[in-house]
Amino acid sequence: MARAERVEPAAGTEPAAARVRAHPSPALRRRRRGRALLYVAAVLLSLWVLVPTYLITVTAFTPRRAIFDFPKPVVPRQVSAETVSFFAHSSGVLAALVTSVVVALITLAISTTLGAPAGYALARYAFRGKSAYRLAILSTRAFPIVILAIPLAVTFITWGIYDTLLGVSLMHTALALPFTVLVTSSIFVTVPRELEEAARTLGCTPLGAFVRVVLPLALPGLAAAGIFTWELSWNEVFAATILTLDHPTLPALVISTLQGASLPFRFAAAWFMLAPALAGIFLIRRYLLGLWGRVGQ
Amino acid sequence: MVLPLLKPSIRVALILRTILALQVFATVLALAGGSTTVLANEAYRWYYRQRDPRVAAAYASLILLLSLVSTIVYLTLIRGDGDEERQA
Repeated sequence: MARAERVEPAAGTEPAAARVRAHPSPALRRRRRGRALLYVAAVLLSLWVLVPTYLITVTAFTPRRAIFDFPKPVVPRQVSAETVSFFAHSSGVLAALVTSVVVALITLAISTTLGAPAGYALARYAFRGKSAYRLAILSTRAFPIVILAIPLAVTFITWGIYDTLLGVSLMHTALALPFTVLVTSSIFVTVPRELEEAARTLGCTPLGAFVRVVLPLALPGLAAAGIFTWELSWNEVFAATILTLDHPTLPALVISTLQGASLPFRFAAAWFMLAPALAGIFLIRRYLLGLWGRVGQ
Repeated sequence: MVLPLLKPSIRVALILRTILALQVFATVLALAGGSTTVLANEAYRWYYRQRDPRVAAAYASLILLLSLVSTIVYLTLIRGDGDEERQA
């Protein structure tokens, strides 16, 4: 009975659909052409990103001798971890990897501790100068890293934290904070204020209402923002290069050794930088639009 | 009808992108070695190779100056109707 009902309207629309397919109106044809162009543009844009990613990955997993083969086979014939492991065992790489991860974690910890409360305040409270405060935070995003890095290097030398994990982390925190504040505020806005108020009427303290009601609802978004902050630090190269000497982060090490480096080293390094970044973006792909959608407004 | 409404967003995007473009560093170093340099590379070279943070800071200031000038140019050229200050 239910099945018969579902089939009937479909059967009724079929002749009309067939007619449209045979003789499309000019307007419809124009719309189809527009849609086709849109798909072509989307495919081209995807290729723009995917082709280099593919080449880097394939080359990083080709044995060192086969890297210089030309013309290159589109599908790799030999796969081995030799090139990547050669890079991983090059001097300083493992230490730089650890440095990079620790710096990113410290950056994440400081910028979340300082930035998330500011974001919460922006989302929940009306206060004098709120829009000016927002604008000021946004404008620090436009401040060139190069300007910050060189005076900071001189200052850090006198403070004794030059070439330390803490120094680079503080620099990266300065870069990440505006992002953290604005993004966490756009996440806290999505948690209904009524839920928090309901928790208060049922006997929660302000902190209790935040921890038991707001935090669980905001957690996925906060985690996504955290991964983004982590990648910001992971990718940053100029300040990390200027602020370190014997303890570089991975990007700083790669950029300083790149000029004399062999092709296998370069591709393996590129893959080492790329893979964690891509994995992170893939994890938070559902939140990316939400993260950036409201920041520019 | 669409472009005028997008004006505030386009303005912000232009300002941010120009400022970021002036700071390009790693790409130039990786692709051109040391032979072709941009301002940020010069700052890096003076700081690292010549060990002179003062000249490096001068280059950095030049980048800041260019960023400021470009921002002012964008703000005067792309004028809004006054309501976009809130959206920026």
